[in-house]
Formats: sequence, C-alpha cells, structure tokens
Amino acid sequence: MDDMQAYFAIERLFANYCAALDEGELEAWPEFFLDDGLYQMIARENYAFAYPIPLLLLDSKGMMKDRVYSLRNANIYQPHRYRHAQSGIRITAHEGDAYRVSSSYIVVQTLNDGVSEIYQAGSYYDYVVRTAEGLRFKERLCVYDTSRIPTLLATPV
Amino acid sequence: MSMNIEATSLDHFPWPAADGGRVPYAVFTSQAIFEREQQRIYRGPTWHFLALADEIKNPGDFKSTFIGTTPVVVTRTRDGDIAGWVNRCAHRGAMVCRELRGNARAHRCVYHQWTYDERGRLRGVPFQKGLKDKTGMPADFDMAAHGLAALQVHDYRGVIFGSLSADAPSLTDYLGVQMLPWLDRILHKPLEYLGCTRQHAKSNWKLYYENVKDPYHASLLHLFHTTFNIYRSNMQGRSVVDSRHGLHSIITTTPQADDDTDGDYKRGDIATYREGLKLADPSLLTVRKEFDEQTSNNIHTLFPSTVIQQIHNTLAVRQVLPKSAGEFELVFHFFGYADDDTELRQLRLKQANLAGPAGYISMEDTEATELVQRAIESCEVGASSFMAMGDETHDQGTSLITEHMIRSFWRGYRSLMGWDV
Repeated sequence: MDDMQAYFAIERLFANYCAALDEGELEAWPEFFLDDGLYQMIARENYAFAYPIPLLLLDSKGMMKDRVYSLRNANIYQPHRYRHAQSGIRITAHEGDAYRVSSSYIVVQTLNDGVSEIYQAGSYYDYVVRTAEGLRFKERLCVYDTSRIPTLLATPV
Repeated sequence: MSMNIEATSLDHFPWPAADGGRVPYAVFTSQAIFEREQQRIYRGPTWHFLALADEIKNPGDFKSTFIGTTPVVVTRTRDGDIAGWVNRCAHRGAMVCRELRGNARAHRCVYHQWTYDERGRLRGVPFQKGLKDKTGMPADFDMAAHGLAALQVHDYRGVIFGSLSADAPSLTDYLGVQMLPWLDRILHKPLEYLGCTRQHAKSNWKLYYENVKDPYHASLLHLFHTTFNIYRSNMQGRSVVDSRHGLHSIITTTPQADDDTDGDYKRGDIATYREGLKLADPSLLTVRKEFDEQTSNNIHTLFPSTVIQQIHNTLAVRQVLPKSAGEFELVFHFFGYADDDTELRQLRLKQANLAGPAGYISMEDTEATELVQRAIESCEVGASSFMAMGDETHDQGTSLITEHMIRSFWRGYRSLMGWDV
C-alpha cells in the first residue's frame, strides 16, 4: 500500500472500532485484535515515570472476550454510552504492512440522567498489521491523561 | 464556610443505637460533620499512608499527596532519611510544590519565591534585607521560625506513614500488636513500587470504609466471583478487629486444603455455577504461592485512610482521600517485591485487572457507595442504616457473613468524634 492507502485503511479500522464501542457492540470489540493481540490501558502519570501498572491488561483475544462476558453477565455498573472523538492520526513507523500509529482520543460518557461528560482523554499507541480479513490490532495501548477515573471503568475505550 | 460543631450540636445527629448497627445517614451528607472529621480525625492523632519508600529512594526525591484535605509532601533528604511537610507556604499560604513527584534540592513558592529545603526549612526570602535604602523584613525576622509545618513521618518496612498531629502515638503503638503481624506478613521483604490507579467517587469516604470492612457483600455484589467460581463458601475466613477501639480490621479468605481451587486455576478448567461457562483465557487466575498461608484475599483496613490489599498475587495500598462530604478519591498504589522474577512480576501486572477502578472484583464498590449516597442525600432526620448480621460473641472472628467489623468501626468513630463523651 502507498502511504495514502495505508492512512485510509487505518482510519477505517479506527472508525469501525469506535463505532462498535459507541454502539455498545461489545462482542465485536475483540475481533479488532489478533488472537495474541494486546489491549492495555495505563495512566499517563505511570507511563511518564515508567511505572508499569496497567488499568487493564488483556494479552489475548480470549482475555478480551472474558472481559466482555464479565461485563455482560457479572459486573454491575451504570448503563452508559461512550462517544469517541479521535484525531491526529499519525503513522510513526512502518515495515511492510505493519504500522506504528499514534492518535488522540476523547471519550464523552452519557448516563441515563442525560448528562454528557468528558470521561477520558488520552493517546492511542497502536501496532496495526494486515491480515486476510483486513487490518487488525497487534497492540493497542491507551495512555489516558484523565488519571482520576470518574466512579469506575467498565467498558474499554 | 468551615463550621465547627460544638459538642452540644452533635445532638442534631441522633444515633438510634450506640452499638454501631444503626448509623444516621446525616453523617454521610453533612459538611459540618465532614469538617469535624478533618479536625478530629485527619488532623488529629492518626497515621496515614503517604508513599512507598521506593517512590522516593534517591536524595531529593519528593511526592505530593494529601492527608484528608490537607496537601502534604514527603521527601528523601540529602542525608537519606525521610521528611514531610504541609504543602502550604509559610508566607501567604500558596501551594509550594506543584508536581506529583520529582527530584529537587529546594522547593520554591512561585508567589514570592520563598524557598525551602527538602525538610521544609525556610532557606531564602527575596529582598529580606530590603533593596538599596528601602527596608526589608524586620531585623528580628527569624527564618528558623517560619518553615513549612512539619509532619511526623515513619518508614515502616518500606511503607511511609505520616501524621499531622504531634500528639499521635508512635506508629507501631497506633497500629497495635493485633494488626502488626498482618502488616509484617505482606511487608516481609523489600518492596518495589509499580504505579497507581485512581478513581473518584461521588460518595462519602466512610461508605467506602464500611465497604472494606464488609465481607458480607463480597459474593453478592461482586458477581465475577461466583460467575467464575473464585469465591467459595468453603473458604476459611477471618474477620478480626483491633479490640482496643474497633477501628482497624483484617479480613482474609483462604482456600481450604480440601478445596481444589488452586489446582483448578492451574488446570484452567474452572468449574462454574453456569453450566459450560469457562474463562476463555484463565491465565488471569494463575496463583503463585508466596506466603505460608496463601490467602486469596487479605483486606487490611488501617483507620482512617489506608487499606493494605493482597488479592491472589496483587499487592496494593489503597489510599482514601476525602474531598467533601459527598466525594472521595481512591488511589490504588500497587507494588511487588524487589526480587520478583519476570513471570511473577508479569502476573502481578495482569492481576491488576482484578482490583482497581476497572477491576473485575472491585469496580462495583464505588458503584455501591454512590447508590447509597444518591439515595440518602435527602432523607428525614434520624433516618439510619440497619446492620445486624453476625454475632461476634459466637463467631469469634471466623465469619465472612458478618457486619461486626462495621459496627466496631462506628463505635470507635462515635468515640473519636465526641458522641460518647
């Protein structure tokens, strides 16, 4: 792929990812990853000082499916809707059809009371690879600036 | 704004019973009670988690945090010991240190550049001697009398505690002979700080203290346990309070010898209450034995702001920071041991999925405290909770279906706040 094709393919992956989460299609979420993919959320204040503790660390598609199953069947949290805004997509490195990509995100959360609040701002640092089914995440690292999480985090961003 | 309640006005907050089983909801919503707690408890003779020693290991390292609502800083001095001070300039009250953490030999207030050393001693005042023929500070101005307010600080086996009160007992007396062995068990070798996660709850801090003294809710609110069969009724339990005042407590659960939970985890074929349900990836529940008694849960509550947690192989100090009557911040400070091998360290990081703001078996706690806060914000005078589960005379600290630790907490709290005078 040339640069422009790659950019549009990555942008489409991101748009589909955001749409799945924003529409509450949690079961679709693990499918954006390789079977041995990594999804990790870490607070900016840890990341900046190289402290490794994550908020979430799911290092297989199986763990991601377990998260979704638990959210659907076990965990208790307020009904909520996410709205992602993603910008500043930059391909920072690539080798063949594997790309390092960074971008910014803001997630607005709306609860049943009808109030929307900025829930989280942060950066995605992604490692995206081409598969027969299209682009997938080998890694998605979410470094969140909003280190003080309002109440709790159930759904991944 | 800030309102001090005279002893007589505590009568406005009647308790239906003195045994701690009926708590007037007003103690969770009144800002006047909140101010009184800050004065009598948080600025009183109590000790609070500040940092792990590993967070400030080099001379000049500092970390800013809070004791209750009071901003404080803890530092490693050039001599290698630790110091702590209230983060409020002795001149005009501005916050001196504005960073979460870092390294500095001097701390300078930006407002008028009054400068302090790492012990909080005043070292420089611009224009102290005036300028040309203009006067500066009075001739008898004594720098030594205008340092930052000092904290008592104590490094206990790698965990730094601080107190705002000069009248606090020694830390070891404060923690007491019943609680210290449980602390020693976790702090049995050098610690390594792994970072923190924070969350903000729109509820009173004491609702969280009730929560961490409440094993009754564990298998009922946190359904991850039962869905994936982590928590079993045949676990051996402990629920022990500090008999001096009832304010500190320890909850443990330990799989019984005849309970094949560990084996189940290792085999990865965890039985469940739902036919056919298995974790797709059970690596999360791998447990490495690292204590003589490998408790699956160890929730050790040190009044009023510190909770030591061991859940499987996750180790953390939870720090409770009240912000107002209706909000608190909860910080999970995770740690491992300096001699962790790579596999064990990775396991600790992975098990951070269990406990924290997004944790499988902890996310519901702040949800529950907020549900309470929302429902009690407006209620009739005298409305109260009802907690009668468990007869401690019979159970003798072995029951997990009990509210005796919460009732003990409230009896101690009533005494500290002056209801029982």
